[in-house]
Amino acid sequence: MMPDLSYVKDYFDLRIEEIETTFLHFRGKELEAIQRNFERGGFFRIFQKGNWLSTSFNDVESQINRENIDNLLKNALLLKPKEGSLTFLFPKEDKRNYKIIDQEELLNYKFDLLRKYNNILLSHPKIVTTNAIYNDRLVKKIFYSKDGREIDFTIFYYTIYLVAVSRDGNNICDYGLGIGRSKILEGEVSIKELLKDLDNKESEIEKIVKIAVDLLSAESVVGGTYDVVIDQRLAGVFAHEAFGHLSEADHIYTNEKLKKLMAIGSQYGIEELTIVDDPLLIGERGSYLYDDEGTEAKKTYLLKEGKIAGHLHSKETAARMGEELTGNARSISYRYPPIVRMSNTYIEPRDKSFEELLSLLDNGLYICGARGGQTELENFSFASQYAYEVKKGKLGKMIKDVTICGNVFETLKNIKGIGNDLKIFGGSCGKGNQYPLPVGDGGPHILIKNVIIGGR
Amino acid sequence: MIIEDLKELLKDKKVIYDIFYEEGHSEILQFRGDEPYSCEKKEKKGVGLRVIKEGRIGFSSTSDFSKLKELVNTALALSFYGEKIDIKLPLEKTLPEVKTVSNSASLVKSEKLFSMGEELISLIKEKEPEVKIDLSIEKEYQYVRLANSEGFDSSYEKIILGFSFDGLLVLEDGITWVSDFYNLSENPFLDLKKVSEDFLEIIKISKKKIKINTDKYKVILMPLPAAHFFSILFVGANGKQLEKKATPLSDKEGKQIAPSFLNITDDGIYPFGYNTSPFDGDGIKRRRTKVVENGIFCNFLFDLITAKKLNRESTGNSDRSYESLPRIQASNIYIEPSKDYPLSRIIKELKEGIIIYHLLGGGQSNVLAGEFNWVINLGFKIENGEIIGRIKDCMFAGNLYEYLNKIILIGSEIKDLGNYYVPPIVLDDCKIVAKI
Repeated sequence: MMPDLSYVKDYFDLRIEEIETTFLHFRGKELEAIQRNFERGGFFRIFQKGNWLSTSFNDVESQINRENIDNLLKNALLLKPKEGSLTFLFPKEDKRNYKIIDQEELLNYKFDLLRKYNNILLSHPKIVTTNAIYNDRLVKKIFYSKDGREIDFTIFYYTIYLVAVSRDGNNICDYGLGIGRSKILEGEVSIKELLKDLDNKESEIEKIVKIAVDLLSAESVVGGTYDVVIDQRLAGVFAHEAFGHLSEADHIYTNEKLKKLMAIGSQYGIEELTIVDDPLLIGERGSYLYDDEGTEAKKTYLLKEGKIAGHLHSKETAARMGEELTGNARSISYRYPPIVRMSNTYIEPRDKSFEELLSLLDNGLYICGARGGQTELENFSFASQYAYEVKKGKLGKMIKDVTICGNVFETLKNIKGIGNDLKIFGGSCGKGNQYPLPVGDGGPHILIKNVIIGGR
Repeated sequence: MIIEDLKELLKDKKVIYDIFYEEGHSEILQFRGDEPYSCEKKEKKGVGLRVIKEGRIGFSSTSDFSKLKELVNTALALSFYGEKIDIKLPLEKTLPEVKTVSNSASLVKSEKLFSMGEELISLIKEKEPEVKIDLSIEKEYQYVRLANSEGFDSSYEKIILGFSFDGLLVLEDGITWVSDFYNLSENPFLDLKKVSEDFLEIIKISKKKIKINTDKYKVILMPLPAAHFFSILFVGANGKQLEKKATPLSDKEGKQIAPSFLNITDDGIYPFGYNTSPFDGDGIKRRRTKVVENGIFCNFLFDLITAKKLNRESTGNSDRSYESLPRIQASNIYIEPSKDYPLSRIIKELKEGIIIYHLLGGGQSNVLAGEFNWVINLGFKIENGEIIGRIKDCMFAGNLYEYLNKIILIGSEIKDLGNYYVPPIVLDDCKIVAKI
């Protein structure tokens, strides 16, 4: 039951979350952690005279009452009243009920699955240890706002993350990958059926071992400027980290000059280059129905045919910039306010095969996987997992420690070829102390000219 | 009382257990684009239960205290799968006196903190009206109580007060982003004039751009990038990596890994450090552990269980929140400063080099092996003892274990980063890759 908040004059929203997680972690042969967590909490905020006043809590029932709300409003005296409004929604009620039909406890299934994969990782004598993690998270979100939204839906996130650490004397390498999916629960649901998405990955896991071992004899890259083909994972990191974050309107609206750089219609890439953010993709890790402001999720073109086509918005940034809501206000949990975030962000595929893209490299690199990516507005830096030399279109020896960096606007201009083999991966994003937010990212293979590669 | 209720529920279960209870509240004041923006209050509480049943570990946690019975049953059920370990939980008789609550930080009013933010922004905007400032002040109160089946039952309180801000300047030829942080947990006073002057100086020098060639340079790492640099060492010095044979330091105990003037301590009792406490997540007393002494690597960091497996002693480095099992983590890292080497003198005595204020890419390389691969996000060229301009599109990559031996100087001015206490350091012979 939602409390009666009709006496609150300004815009408010209240979000209550119930979260159940299961976490299993093998490190080497040992199961280092097995745990279940139960969380319940809420986040309440008021928008008054251009400022936000908010509070988060665990005691949902005792916290939201008139006295506490009046106390919260006293803080408004600290903040200077200023201009500012929000984009409001029309009233809507949407409650999705579900029932989990699995009769048996699935812990055995999860444990066996993870142990099976961990044993594959440990199967090579050069693998000294592993990190094999299974994690699921059932999140029920109940949302209620002044503009008449009453939303209630549940998402189940399920992920495995597998890393092999190889060693030869003092040479230590690691390689790993994660598989992350999500499901919006409705009607009768079998969790065991969903978890099949994570099963039958043996061949991918054998590849993890091979790459971790091969990396031991790979040489470090020589730093410099190269023409490169990047794989789908790295393309996803580029779409999300380098470009996607710049499309988030909270970065844009406070700065006139940045607004100009990201103005709709500005041309930064070739006509084949289109980047989208789409929370409505089925089953991807960054998918959802409504954001944490009760706004419907929808597909947004960020870059269309090489031109800036849209920005990602919250109720506040949409009003400030006079643009449409996109449903991208998200938070990692009830402890945090919603901020502008991406969902599933990817580069659309075009017509070139991977072989065609490689054939366009005379002397370059094929760069695979992503250890991580960081950006600060125009500058980005992504560390890859492994790479190969490419000479006259042919793959050569494996190399390692390849980090690509550059200026996003220049790099967009240097994208000269787009593959036909789109893949989307589940990942996690950090912004404004909010990590990990479930997201998806991806793309096809991409050819980029003149990329700066860090090295020794 | 949650702990008492749980003790009662566990009374007849014949298990070893510990209960980690946490509650706290915090207030976050934020300015965005020079303007006050939000005031956020957070209340937090939760409890985590670790049980060891027939030598196997299970764990569960909750923030919903109506579910304590389920918490106990879940932890017990999960122990069926858990790692088998022969362990006794500790009963420390004496705990160190630590400074975690300062009266002045505890008493400082939100109004005062807020006006500090306003004043700093106006001091900066007076000189640089084009810069956009985001600023955040966070005051957090934390209460932790740990009780175990051996009879250990102790608690502590902590107040953390952090002041951080960043400025963004968009110019025709690119963006300059400068950030700074102050740990005010001991003393909420901040010399705003000095803070603004330091900030403005960096903004000023960043306006002039300079091109450099790919080459080897002497490099000054300012405290924040120096902390990134040393954090790689603490991946290798983690006892868990020793257990799993995944650290290049596994055969380096007692051996020289750095010049003899390098001394690094993991200090779990540093006054007002972010990670200071009387006891760690296992209930072991916090302490100072020399990790590098006179350039010699002398200690890995351990928690209770990893130490037991390797037949060592815990160093009190078990990090824990109510939501998860303890794990090994450095507490507060202290790099011993030199004497008489303020930054101004370091720069003055440098004929040619690079000074780095901010890096991108920390932690995303193969840190297990000691690799780093950074983009210099904010760095400057020094010639004949003077900063002559900002360098852009440059990268710096290498291996920590190689570069420890390239440290040629340690500055004398410590920066308090909350969990790192680190002066600027100077590295010799660094290959900087510049875009042609």
